[in-house]
Amino acid sequence: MSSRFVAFLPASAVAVLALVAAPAQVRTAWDWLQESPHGIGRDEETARRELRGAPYAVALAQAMARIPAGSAYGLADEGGPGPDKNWVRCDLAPRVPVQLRPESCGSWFFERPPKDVPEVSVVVARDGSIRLAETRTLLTSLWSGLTGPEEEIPGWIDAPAEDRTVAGRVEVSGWCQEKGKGPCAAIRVWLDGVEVDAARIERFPRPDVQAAVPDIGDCSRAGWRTAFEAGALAPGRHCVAAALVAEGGRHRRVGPWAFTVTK
Amino acid sequence: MGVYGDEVSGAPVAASLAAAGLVAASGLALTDLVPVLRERVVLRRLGWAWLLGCAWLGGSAYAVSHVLHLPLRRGVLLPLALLPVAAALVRRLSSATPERRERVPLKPFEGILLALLLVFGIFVTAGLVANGLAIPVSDWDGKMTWVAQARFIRGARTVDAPALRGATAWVIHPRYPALMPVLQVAAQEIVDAPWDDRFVRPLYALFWPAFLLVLFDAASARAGRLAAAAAALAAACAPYLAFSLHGGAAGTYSDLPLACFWGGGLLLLTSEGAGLGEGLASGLLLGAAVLTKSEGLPLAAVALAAALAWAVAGGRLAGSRNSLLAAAGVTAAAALLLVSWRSGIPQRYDEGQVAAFGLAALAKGAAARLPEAARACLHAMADRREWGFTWLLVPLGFVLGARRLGRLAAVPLAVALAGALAFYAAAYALSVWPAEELARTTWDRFLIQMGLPLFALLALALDPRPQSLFQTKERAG
Repeated sequence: MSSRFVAFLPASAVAVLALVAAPAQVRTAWDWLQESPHGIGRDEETARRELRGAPYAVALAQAMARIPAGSAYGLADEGGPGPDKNWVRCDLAPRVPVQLRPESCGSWFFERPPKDVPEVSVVVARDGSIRLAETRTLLTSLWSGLTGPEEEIPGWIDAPAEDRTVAGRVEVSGWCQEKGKGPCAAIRVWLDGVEVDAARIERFPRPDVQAAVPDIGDCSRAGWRTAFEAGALAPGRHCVAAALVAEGGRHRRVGPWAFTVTK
Repeated sequence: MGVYGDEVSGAPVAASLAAAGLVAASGLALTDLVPVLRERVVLRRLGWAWLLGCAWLGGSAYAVSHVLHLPLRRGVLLPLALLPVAAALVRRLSSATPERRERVPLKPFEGILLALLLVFGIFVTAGLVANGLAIPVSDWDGKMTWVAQARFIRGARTVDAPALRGATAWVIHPRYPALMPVLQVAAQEIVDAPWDDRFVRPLYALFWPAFLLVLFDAASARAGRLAAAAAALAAACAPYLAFSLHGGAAGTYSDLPLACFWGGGLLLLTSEGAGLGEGLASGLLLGAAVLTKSEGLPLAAVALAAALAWAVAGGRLAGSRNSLLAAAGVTAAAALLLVSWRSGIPQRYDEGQVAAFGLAALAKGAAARLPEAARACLHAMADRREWGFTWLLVPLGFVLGARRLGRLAAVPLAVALAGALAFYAAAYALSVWPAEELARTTWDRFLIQMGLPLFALLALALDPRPQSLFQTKERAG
């Protein structure tokens, strides 16, 4: 009798110990069974909306409508911690994603450039939300057309200063002038990676520069500025950069750096 | 139905269950072609049927798409699924009905355990399938790799989808073996199912009951019904195996299918009386393992080595030659298919897994990284929410039944586990990932992958029969 007990002991002990954990499993399975009729009754769209939220579902539906199945689209991930880009890639398949990588301050480039640039891109924000963008606007890159090494051309971006917070109207301004050579030939400004139209950049006098820098000459056109009315820039982080271009295309790059806009 | 934008009302319940039924029917027909499995009652064959059906449909669809360039459409896939049924019918018509072994009556405690196991298994399976049909895929690897790959493949109707082959397409792990995505596509195409993610989750969920049924059947043949029931109950009550989204049956990771394929292949190949039919069937399962995950190839090689060790240790090499060669041949064919398929896919978006090769690098990595990895592994196993009492009762069973492990049936299981552990340890030692992070994110899934040989070995330790102390040949329970 005792030898039979000993023989059966291992199996009995393991079975009993296993059964101690069983009620928790049964509860989980029971919960899932109870919840499932609601889930099974939903269509795919509703199921996705309940799982990922309405904004995601709406943006995804827009992307599906704009990108034909099987064709390519840009996928720009701003680097959030979650698996959001994986969701987009999966939910939009068999549409083919081509990765856009951040270059600096809001501009993007194709890590593996495709033969044809896709018309539409999906941008995955840090908070996991997604939005559609025209790929060409994302690809607008800083310093385009500037060749050759930089030179020490006097000048700077005075506003907005790096990491400064700006409320209401945003003025981007600075100065540029070589000693004894007059004002810079051109100023190019990029905001969030998109170049500001040159016609919007105004030149103005900078007597403060003339007083501070010996032998710089007449500074009546040394200042430059462009402005964005309140509300034109969304609240949040933005990025500014400028190229100070002197005679013969010699240039100096200033920035890019970030600033914050509040309401 | 079947294209984006179409109106779909509710989850594709009927389509998903019909596809699962067809896969199981195809697999059940395959079990009829395997003498050792043919002898079993239908309930004990169901687990094997699911695995063989998935391996056959997924593997054959993979092959005809890549090798013969046939489109993954119903006209191609349905005949593939029905081929085993036709073969089984022909066999039945041309041969006498096999004599079933005389049933051994259940002892009272056996009956109670089996009834508990059956009720528990059906209940949890129902919960898993219902949840799968209710909620779309939301696990990390499922979204990142497996379901995305399935959608690319289905969109192109070929395993050589342009998204996988295009050098500019941003596809993560484009060269990962794609058996589960192919199986999903085949099942969806056969029943013309919509693109709804909820179609696929029950296909993954059904690997849980299949795991338990195969475990019970194989363990029962080696250690008797009581020990098999206790071991299967221990596995069934491991929460991670059933409910984890990240490696268990509730998610769409490929670890549980891999566990079933390579573990099932090993158990079938080392079953008493295994011949050519068993060799081909276990080759089909090991080949499916090769095509399921990157770990599949080394694990399949470990399984073949373990079966060889078993044959040598038992002095039955000549008798096992046919089964071993058949299994190795089919596995090698699957490996060739994988190599050929991968050759057309540019390597990209696949993080480097290994820092350096070579014995020196292995020794250095092992010394520096394995202690840290081991701590993370133990920490993972101690997580009661994930594992319940699993890693208390498994060692307890081995300690209490240690005397019963010194027999031939334990050899292939122990060799396979040792081989798998050595492979995982080498991966941990050589990886470029931080050791603790790597172990934390993979060890639970490696435990799943080792599940079938581990719990089958546990059943041997729990075997209460007197002959288990001196048995040299397995007997049916």
